[in-house]
Amino acid sequence: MSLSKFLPDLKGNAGLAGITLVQVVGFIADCLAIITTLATIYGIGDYLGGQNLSVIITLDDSPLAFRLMLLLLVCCGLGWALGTICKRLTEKSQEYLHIISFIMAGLFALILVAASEVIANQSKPGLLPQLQLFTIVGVGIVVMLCRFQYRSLDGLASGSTLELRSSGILIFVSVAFLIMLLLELS
Amino acid sequence: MAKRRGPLPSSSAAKLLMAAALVDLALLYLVSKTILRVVTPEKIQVSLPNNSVLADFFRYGEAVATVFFPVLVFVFLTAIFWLVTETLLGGLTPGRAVLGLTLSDETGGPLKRSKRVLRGMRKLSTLGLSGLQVSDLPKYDKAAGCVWNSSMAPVPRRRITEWVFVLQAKDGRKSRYRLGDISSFVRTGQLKIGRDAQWADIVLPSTSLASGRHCVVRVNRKQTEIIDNNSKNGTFIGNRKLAAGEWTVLPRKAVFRTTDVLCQILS
Repeated sequence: MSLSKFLPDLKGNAGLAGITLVQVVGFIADCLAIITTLATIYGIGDYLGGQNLSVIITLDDSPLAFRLMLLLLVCCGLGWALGTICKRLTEKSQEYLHIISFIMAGLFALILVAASEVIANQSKPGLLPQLQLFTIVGVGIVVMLCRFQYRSLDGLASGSTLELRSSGILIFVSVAFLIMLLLELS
Repeated sequence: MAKRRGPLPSSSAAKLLMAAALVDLALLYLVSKTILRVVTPEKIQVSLPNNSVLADFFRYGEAVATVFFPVLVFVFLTAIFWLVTETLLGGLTPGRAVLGLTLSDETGGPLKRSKRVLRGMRKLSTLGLSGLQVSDLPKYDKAAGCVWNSSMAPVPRRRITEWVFVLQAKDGRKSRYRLGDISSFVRTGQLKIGRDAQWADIVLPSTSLASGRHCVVRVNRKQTEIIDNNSKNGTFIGNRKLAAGEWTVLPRKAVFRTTDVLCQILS
C-alpha cells in the first residue's frame, strides 16, 4: 500500500509516492527499538552506579535460566539497535558514516561483554564458564538480529554496502571475543 | 516464507566466514574449558612400567602432557569438530548457521559430493590456514567452484524476458503473459495495452471501459515506467491517476489499473 493513497499531495513525486506504509511503520519500529535499547543501557548503567531503582534485581542467587533470560533481553535490544543503526549508516555514501558504523560495532561489543560479565555469576563458578557462555550466546543473538536487519528483500544491497556490513559484523565479533579473552587473562 | 539467499561477493564472504570461524573457535574454547573442569591430568590414571627406560620416557611424556593438556584438549576438539562439520554436515558449523551462510555451486544448486571432497582435501593440505584471510575467498573454495550465499545478499533477478504480465478483468478472470513471448516487446522493450487488437500487445477485454490505445509500459533493468496514452477514463497506480502523456515510474510489483482492469508485472 503506497503513501500516495493517504497523501494526495504526493502526486507526481515518484520518490515519495513510492514509499510504502510498511516502510514507514518499520522506521517507527526501529526508532522505538533504539529508544528502548538506550533506556535499557541507561538502566544497567544506573544499576551499576548504585543508584536507586524502583525494581531491584538481585543477581547473586539467581539461577542460570534467569540470567540467560536477562541476557536474551539485553541482546535483543543491542542486536536490533546495532542492526538498525549500522543499516542506516552503511546505506549512505559518506565515508565518515561508515567509520562511525565500525565504531558503533566495537562499542556494542564492549557493552555486550560488560553486560555478560555483570549477568554471569562470578562468585560461585559452576561447571559452565558463564562469562564465556553468555558472551558466545550474546554474540550469536546480536549477529542474528543484525543479519535480520540487513536482509535484502528487494535486491537493494550493493556490493560495497554488503562489504561494509560484513566488516561491521567482523569487527563486532572480533572485539567481543578479544575483550572476553582479555577479561579471561586478567 | 522461503528463505531467499543470494550469492555473496568473495570479499564479503571472506569477512563473514572469518567472523563465523571466530564464533566456532570461541565455542570450542568454551567446550574445552568445560571439559577441563571435569577432566584433569591428575584424574587420568596411567599404569607405568617400573624401572625401565620406557618408564622414564612415559614419565617425561606425562609431565609434558600435564603442562600442555589444555592445548591438547583444544586441538583434539578442533580436529573432531573440523572432521564432523566438513564431512558429515557439508560445511555447516554453528558460526556459519548463526550468520546464515550456506554453500552452493556457481548455479546456486547444492555442491556435488566430488566437489565437496576436492574442497575438503585442499583444505586439509593447508590445515585450513589458507582460509584465514578477509579480503578474498580461500583457494580451496575457488578451486571447487563454491559460492557462499546469505540472506544479506540480493537474490539475482530473473531476465526481463522471463517476467510475467498479469491481467485481471472485472469479472475476476486472470490472464498471464510471459514478456519474452511478446515479439514486439522483445524488439522494442515497450508494451502497448488497450482494447484495439491491431495496436495493442496486451489486448484488454472488449467489455472493458479502457480505451483502444490506453497506455504503454516500458521496461528496462533499472526501472519500469508507464505512460497514459490520453485515455478516456485514465490509468491509475493505486488511487493515483496518472497525468496523460507523462512517463511515471512504476514501483516494483505495483498494481496499476487501466480503468477497470488490474495489471501487474511480476519480475
